[in-house]
Parts: sequence; structure tokens; C-alpha cells
Amino acid sequence: MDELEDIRKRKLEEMKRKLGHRETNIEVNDGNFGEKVIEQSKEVPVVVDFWAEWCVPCRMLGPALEHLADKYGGKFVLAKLNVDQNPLTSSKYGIMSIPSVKMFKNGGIADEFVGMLPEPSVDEWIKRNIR
Amino acid sequence: MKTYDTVILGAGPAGMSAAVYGTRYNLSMLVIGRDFGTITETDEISNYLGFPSASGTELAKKFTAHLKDLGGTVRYEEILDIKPDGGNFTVTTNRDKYTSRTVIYCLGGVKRKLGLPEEERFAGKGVSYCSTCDAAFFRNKTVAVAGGRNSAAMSALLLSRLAKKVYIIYRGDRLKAFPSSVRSVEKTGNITVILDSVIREIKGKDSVESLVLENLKTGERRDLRLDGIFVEFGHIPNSGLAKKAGAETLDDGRIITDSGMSTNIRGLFAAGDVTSGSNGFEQVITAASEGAIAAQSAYKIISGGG
Repeated sequence: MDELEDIRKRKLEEMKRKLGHRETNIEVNDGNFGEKVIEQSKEVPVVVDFWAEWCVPCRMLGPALEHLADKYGGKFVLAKLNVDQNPLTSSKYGIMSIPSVKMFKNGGIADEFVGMLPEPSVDEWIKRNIR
Repeated sequence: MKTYDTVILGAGPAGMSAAVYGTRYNLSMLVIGRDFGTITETDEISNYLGFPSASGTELAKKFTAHLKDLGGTVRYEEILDIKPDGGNFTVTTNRDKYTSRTVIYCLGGVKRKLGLPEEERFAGKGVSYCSTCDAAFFRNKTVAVAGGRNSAAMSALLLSRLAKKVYIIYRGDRLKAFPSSVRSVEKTGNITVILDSVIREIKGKDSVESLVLENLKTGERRDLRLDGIFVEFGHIPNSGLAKKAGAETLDDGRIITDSGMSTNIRGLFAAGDVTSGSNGFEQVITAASEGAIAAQSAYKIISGGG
């Protein structure tokens, strides 16, 4: 059954690729940050959410960002990076407070905010940045 | 639209306690909160009855589980407006509108800042308002905690386990935390308390590199080199929406409540750190107590006895 499930998932991924479907809510790590964030941000804005399991405000902001990623339906990609598991990227971007959210466009940081914000404010921030 | 008996605003200790009592009174109700409240800013709580030592987050999770066990749920939405409406209330959030006969307002407080012009530029670059969120980024570094009350002492104790050196900078001539916490601070080798002093400036290029301190007694100024500063100046009551709805507040923003946690508006109750109750003693146990009283008062109105 597991094998069948794997084949089904693989086929689905292939179909999505063929149809040009883009995942709007992804998890990224030290290994694929370059490809999934930097490179992808040359085509579509990528919002990176630097978070950790032990950070309560992060666990509140996360669902708001996910809701907005769904709402905007592909106008930006939400990429979540766990700072505990990915110290290289966190250190490279000087993360000293979480939640920390950065908007990547054309391979670089276009805007950022730190700390918990209510969803309407995050919505405004996204609207302003993806115009 | 359904009219609830009560809508509880805030999912911290006051709101959750009100909700637990609300289920006991069979009130049709809704709890709306953005987060668990300021309880999660505390690394260790050792004075909540039955829990000799628990983190704020652990307690908050237990409160949520307790409510869930009794059949209650929390909606995590952003509250935008409360309007008294012909004996009822309309609560507007970023997702929906709700009508209720009573409202229990438990929105706690928002963190007070240092008030320096460069503070925002350094937010997330060495200036932090949440030690439980950010302490891990300062492993083996030098940090300061601004403030001298309970939250500052707890924050310094948490940081002392990770950082190389912790300073507590306080304008008073002695720390005003619980004596047991003050003793713990004094016994911790890598914490130094700097009294009678205020932070006049944050310096640094890309992130915090030093603070300019002023001794209020001597007027002397000096630089203190460090990597981060944790602001623990307490909270400003988050009473804006209640005020807009007509609730009276003290000059410091706390909502004026009577012994039944009622505001000056019939049907609008308040509980927890946002109120003038409990002598301004901002504790989990006092917030829970006020929440319970508010739920009982709401029940009295619903059942026609209030």
C-alpha cells in the first residue's frame, strides 16, 4: 500500500510540474534555500518565515501566513524555515529574533518584519510588497 | 445570526478561566484570541497552585486542553471592534461578526518599549521583547535585560543559562521582583545588576553592539558592550477596543471594574491584566480568579439574576 501511495504522490508531482503548478506553501532548509528561495524569488516573491517549535508567537503567526498564502493563490510562495534545524541559513541572515519574516524578490530581501503581527497587518504588508 | 450568551475576548489565563466557568454555567459562548497572552513570555512559573514549576507555554496548553475537555474551543482571530448594540454586543474580527448578550474582555497588555528613536531599527537585530523566543540566539554572548521587576528577573535567569554574561539594568535602587527571584539573581554568577541606571542610546552598525548607560544619581555616562538587549518593562493595558466601546479606564489605561468585574457598561465585563482589579498584581492566579468572577457575573445577567 505504501508503495502505491508513493507512486500516486510521484505521479501527482509530475502532473503538477507539467501543468506548471507551483507549491505555495513549502518547507525549506539549509540545503535547498538557494533553489527554493533565492532562485524561485526571481520568478515569484517568496516569503520566508523563520520559526522554531519553542516560539509561541511563531506558532500563532504561522497559520496566519498559511491562510494568506492560500488566499493569494500563488501570487507569492510561503517558505517556512525551522531555525533550530537550519542554523546556517539563520546565521547567514542574522536572525536574532523570531518570528522573523523576510520577503525575497529577484534573489534578494525586499522587505522584512520581526515579531508577531495580526493577520490584517501581515495582509497589508504582503499587499504592499507584491504589487 | 446566532446570539451567544457571552463572547470571551482573549485566550490567556483570564479568558480561559472565564471560559471554563462559562461551560460550568452552560453559557453558549465563544472564545476569541490571537494567542495565549503574555503568559507565554514567562519561562518558569512556580506560583500557580498545583504546578510547582511549569513554563508559561506549558500552563497555557494545559488551560486550552482543560477547556477542550469541557467542550469549549478557541477561535484564533484578530478582534477589530466591539460595539454595544441595543442591549447586545457585536464583535467584529478579521474573519467574522458575532453577536452576544455579554462580553468578557480579557485582552491583557502589549509590551512596553524602551522608547528610544533607534529602537525600531534594532528590533530583531539585538533588541528583543521575548526572551523565551530569542534567548537561544544569544548562546555564549553578552546581553542585558532592561527592567527590574518580576519579568526582568525571570528573563535574566533564563538568559543566564545560555548567555556568557547577563546585565540587568534598572532605574530603581533595588530590584522589585519577588524576593525569591531576587535571591536567585544574586546567586547566579554570570548576572550583574546595574541599579539607578537608564539606557540612553543603543549603538551598532548592523546589530546591537553597545548601550549608553546613564547613572541617574551621578549623571555619569558610560558604554556597555554587548550583543543583545531584552526589554522587560512590563505591559501597557490593551484596553483600546473597550475604551472605544465606552468603557471607563484609569489614566494608565486599565479598565475600571467593580468587584463583579463589571465595567461601567452593562453586560461588558473585564478580567486579567487589562483591569484595575487585583491591585495591579499581574499574576496568572489573579487573572484566572478575575475570569471566574466575570463568568459568574455574566451568568447572573443571562439568567436574569444580575
